[in-house]
Amino acid sequence: MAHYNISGDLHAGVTIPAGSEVDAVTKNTRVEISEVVDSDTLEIIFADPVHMATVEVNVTGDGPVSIAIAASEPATPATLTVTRAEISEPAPNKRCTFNVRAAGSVAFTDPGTELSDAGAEPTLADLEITSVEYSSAESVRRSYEVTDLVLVGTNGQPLDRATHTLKGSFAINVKGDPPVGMAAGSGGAEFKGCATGKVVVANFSQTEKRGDWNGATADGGHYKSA
Amino acid sequence: MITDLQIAVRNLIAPLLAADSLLTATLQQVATPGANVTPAAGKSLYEVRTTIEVAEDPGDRHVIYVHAREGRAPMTILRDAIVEISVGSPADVEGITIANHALLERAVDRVWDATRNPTLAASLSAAIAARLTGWTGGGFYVEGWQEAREDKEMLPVYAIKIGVQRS
Repeated sequence: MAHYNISGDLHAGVTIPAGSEVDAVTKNTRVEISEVVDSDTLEIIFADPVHMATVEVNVTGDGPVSIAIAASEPATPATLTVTRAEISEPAPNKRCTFNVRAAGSVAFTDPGTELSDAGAEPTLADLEITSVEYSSAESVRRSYEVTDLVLVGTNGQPLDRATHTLKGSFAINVKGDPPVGMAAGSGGAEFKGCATGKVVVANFSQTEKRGDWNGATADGGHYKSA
Repeated sequence: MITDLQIAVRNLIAPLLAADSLLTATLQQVATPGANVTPAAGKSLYEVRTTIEVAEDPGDRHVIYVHAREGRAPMTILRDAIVEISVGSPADVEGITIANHALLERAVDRVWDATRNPTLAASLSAAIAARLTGWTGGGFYVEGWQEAREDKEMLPVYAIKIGVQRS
């Protein structure tokens, strides 16, 4: 349930220093996207997540006066292990604050079940992502770019030029709990008004902050020819 | 929505205050808010009211006022509201003392202490749902006692940020 406080769910597995209290937590799941470019059309014809995701948890809070961190061999790659700890004292006689970052690596299976309708060149009317309830989406950004290649001639001047490998990207910020289905991997977002292609969410992040609503962000790529 | 929130919060905290043993050892809550009854002999009374009550302030007892105002409205399904609670104590009335006024202020603080009342968020959600069809609570965040603004005659308020969301 969307709420104003820290549930403990997002930083489960991270031991919080004794005598301290958590103010904000961010949990980010990141998966790399493997892309294959067609040598004739120079378009990305395959785009799939790799079979491993990195989970990173970032915790900030108040107190304590010391934090210990040491190198270790975690039980499994998936075990969340603190990789960075920071403590700061903003001024004399003020409460210390801490920041802890923990990470783990998990096997990732692309859900792949929510096929996207994305595809055709976007128009202004298409700049709409339908898998996110608009009442919960705080902002949506969608962009497209091509690689600009210039061939330099023997005289050192531009000889030829091509733009290729069209690639789209998007980012969605959500207030409250993330909509059902929003996750890393294929699908997770669906564009309106397009006929073909594939949408892959490469980064999915959830946040909890004391005194503010839960939040989530998803960003990734749109592959028109995949 | 704001008036319903005031009533929901009043309905939530009135029984919690009535069950506060540290408070009830000294002060007793009137059974019927707004009833024009005289305090029992030797016993001070207090009353929990919203700031939208039609009946006039009783004038013979402490009053805990519940006020609410709109916070920012980030989404159509998520709303923020600021609930402000203050304690009013009439002067020159038997049994009305600064000590009892302070006792009520501390009791308000205890009501919103999540470590004392771990189910408070759920109770708040239920109270909101009972007043606002289609809505429920989204948790709360205590901002605590805020200084009286500008004019020293104004009462300090205990502010709580309350989240309301579509159910």
